[in-house]
Amino acid sequence: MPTRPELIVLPLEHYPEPEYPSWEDPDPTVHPYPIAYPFGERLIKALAAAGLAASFGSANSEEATSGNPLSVANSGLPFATSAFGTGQPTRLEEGLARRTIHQIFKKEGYAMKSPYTYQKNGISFQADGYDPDKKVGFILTGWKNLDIDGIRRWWVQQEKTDPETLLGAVLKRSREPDAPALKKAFAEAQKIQDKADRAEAMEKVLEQYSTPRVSLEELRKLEQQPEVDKDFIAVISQFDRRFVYYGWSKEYISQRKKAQAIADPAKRKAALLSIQKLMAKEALEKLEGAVREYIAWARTQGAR
Amino acid sequence: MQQDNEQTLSVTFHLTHSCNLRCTYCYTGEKSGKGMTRETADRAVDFAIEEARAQGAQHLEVVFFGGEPLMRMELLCYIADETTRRASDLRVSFKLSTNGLLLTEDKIRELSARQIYISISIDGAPEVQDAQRPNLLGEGTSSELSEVIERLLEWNPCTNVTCVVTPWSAGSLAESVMWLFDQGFAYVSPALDYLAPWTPADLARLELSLRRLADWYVENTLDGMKFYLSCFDERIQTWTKGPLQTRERCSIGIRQFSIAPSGRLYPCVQFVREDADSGMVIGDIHSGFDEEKRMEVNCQSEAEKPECDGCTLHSRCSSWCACVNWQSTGHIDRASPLVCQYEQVLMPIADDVGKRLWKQRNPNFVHKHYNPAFPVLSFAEQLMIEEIDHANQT
Repeated sequence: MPTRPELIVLPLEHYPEPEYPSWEDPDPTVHPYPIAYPFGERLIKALAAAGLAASFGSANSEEATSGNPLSVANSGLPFATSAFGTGQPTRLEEGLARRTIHQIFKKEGYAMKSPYTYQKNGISFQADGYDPDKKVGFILTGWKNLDIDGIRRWWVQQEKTDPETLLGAVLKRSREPDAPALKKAFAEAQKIQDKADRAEAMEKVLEQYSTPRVSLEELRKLEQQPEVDKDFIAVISQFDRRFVYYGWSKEYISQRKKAQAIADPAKRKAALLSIQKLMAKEALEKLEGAVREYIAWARTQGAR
Repeated sequence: MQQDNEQTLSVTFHLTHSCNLRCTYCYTGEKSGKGMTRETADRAVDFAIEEARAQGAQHLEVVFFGGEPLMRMELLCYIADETTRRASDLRVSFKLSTNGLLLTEDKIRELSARQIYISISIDGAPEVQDAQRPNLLGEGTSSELSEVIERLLEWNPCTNVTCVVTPWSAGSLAESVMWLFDQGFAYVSPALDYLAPWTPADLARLELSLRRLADWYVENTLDGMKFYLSCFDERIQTWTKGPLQTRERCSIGIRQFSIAPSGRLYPCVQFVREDADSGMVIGDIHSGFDEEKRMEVNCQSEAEKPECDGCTLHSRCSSWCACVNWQSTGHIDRASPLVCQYEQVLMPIADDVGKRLWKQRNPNFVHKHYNPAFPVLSFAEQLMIEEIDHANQT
C-alpha cells in the first residue's frame, strides 16, 4: 500500500451553510413561484418542425408568468389611506429604496438608465431604471408617481380637510409648485358643487400639473409586457407591506435626536440616513430579496 | 428506471481477468487470462436470483465487469438471456462496464436488444487517454475510440462515461471533461485513482481544474444544456436530497456483491483483484455466503469513523465508501485521507455552483436537483427528440 504522509484525515470544524435550498426547505420548483420544466431547445426545434411548438410554448408560459414576485397584485396598490393612530408602519424612504434597487440591478449586470421614459404599446411612464438593451427595469411607485385610481380615492377623502392643506399637498407633488396656473385651476375645481364632478376636475388638474404618473391599468398592461415584447419592468411599491418596518424603539429615537442635533447639514443627513438604514435593515433585506427574486424569475421567462 | 421503494440487489459478474488495455492505474489485478466458465456462470445466475428472492428484492441488477467483459461477449449474452428467462418474477436490468474498444456495430446491436446499459471508460482528450489507457503494446487507444464514441452515442445518447483522474492528469480534468461533453456525452463521472500517492500539490492542481470546470458547468447550465457531472451533481444532491442515509448507500456484501471468475464472492468490485486475497472473500456460489465474514465486512463499512468526529461535512462526504477506504488505507473502516481532502476541496466549489445557479433560479438547476421526476422527464424528452427527428426524416 503506498504511503501518503502528506495527506491526513482532518475534520472540518466550520463549514458555511450552502446558499441554495436544502431538502428541508419548501419545494423550489413551486416556491416562491412555479418554475416551468425547461424543455430543451432541441425539443422545441423538433416540435417546431412537426408544427407542434406553438401550443407547447403557450402552455409553458402560462404556468410560469403567474410567478412574478413583484406583481401589481403584490404591490399594495391601489393604496388606501388608513386612520391615524399608533402602530402605523414606516415606509422605506424613496431615495434609499431606489438606490438599493439600483445597486441590485447593477450587480446583476444591468446598465440602468434613470429616469427613462418608457413608451410602448400604449403605455407611457417614467421608469426609475431601465436597461434598453436588455429590456429590464423597474418603477418604484409612491406618492410622486402614484396611480390615478389611488389619487382619486385620496383626493375625495382629503375633502374632509381644509382646501389650503389640500392645495399644499397638490403643490408638493406638482411639477410647477408655484405656478399660478395650478392654483387657479385648483380654485376653479374647488368651486364645483357635485362631489363626483369635483373629483374629476381635480383629477384633470393633477394630471396636467403633476409629475408623470402611471395608472394601475398601465401597470397591469406592463405585467403583460414580458409576453408581448420580452420587456421586464418590476413594479415595486412603497405601499407594499413586505417592505415596511416598525423601528421606533427608544434606542432609535434617542439616536435620532442626537443626529438631528448635528449642526453640519451634510453630517446630519448622513447620520440620519445611517440610523434609517439600521432601522430599516430587515425591510431593505426583504426588498433586496424581492428584487433578486424578480430578476431570477425574469431570467426564467427569457430576460437577458 | 428505479421504482419508488423498490428493493434492489446488485450483482457484478466478473467475466474475465483478461483485458485488451493496460491502464496505468488498474485496480483489478494481474491480467492472468482466467475467465468464468459456462458452468460457473450458470450457477452464478441461479445464485444471484436465489439471493434476490431471499432478500425480498423486486429488482435484480446484473453488472458485467472484468477485465474487459466484451472479451467474453458470448458468455455475457448467455448470462443476460438466462437471467431474464429464469427471473421472470423479478425486474431485471443490466449494466456493462467497458473500455469500449471492442464495441462493434453488431455488438452494440446485441447489447441493445438485451437492454444492456453501457457505461464506457474514457479518460478524456487523446493525450490523456493515450497516456493513461494504452493497449498491450503500450500504444495509445484514442484514435480507435473516436468511431466507437460516435457509434455508441447514436445508439444511446444517455451513455455514461467514467474518466479516471490520476495525480498526473489532475491539472487537466476540466479539459478532459469538456472534451468528453464535446464528443456528445451527457453523463460524465470523474473518479479519482485512489491507489495513487496523491500529494497536496496534486490536489492544488486538481482544485484549480475543478474551479475551471465549475465555471463551465454554470455557463452551460445557463445556456440550457442538460448534462450530469457526478463530481458536482452528487455533492449538490447531498444538500438538496439530504445526507446519505444508510439505506441509500451501497451496503456492500448485502445489497451488492461481486462474483469472481472462479465463483468466489466479494463485497464489491474493487476487492476481487487477482481473486487471490482470501481475506476479503465472503463466500462462493457453490457453498453460499460465509455469513460471519459477510456481516463483519458490512458492519465495518457502516461503522462510524472516530477520525471524522466533529467534521461538519461528515453527513455529506463520501468517506462511507468501503472499497475506496480499503484501496486507500487498507482498511474498510478507516476514512481515506485522500477522500477527506478531496471532499474539502470539492464541496465548496460544488456549493458555489449551486449558489450561482439558484441565485438565477435557473430552471435546469432547479428541476435537476429538486424535481424527483427530472430523470424521467429528461429521458422522455430525449426520446421525444429522437422520435420527432426520426418522423421528420421519414
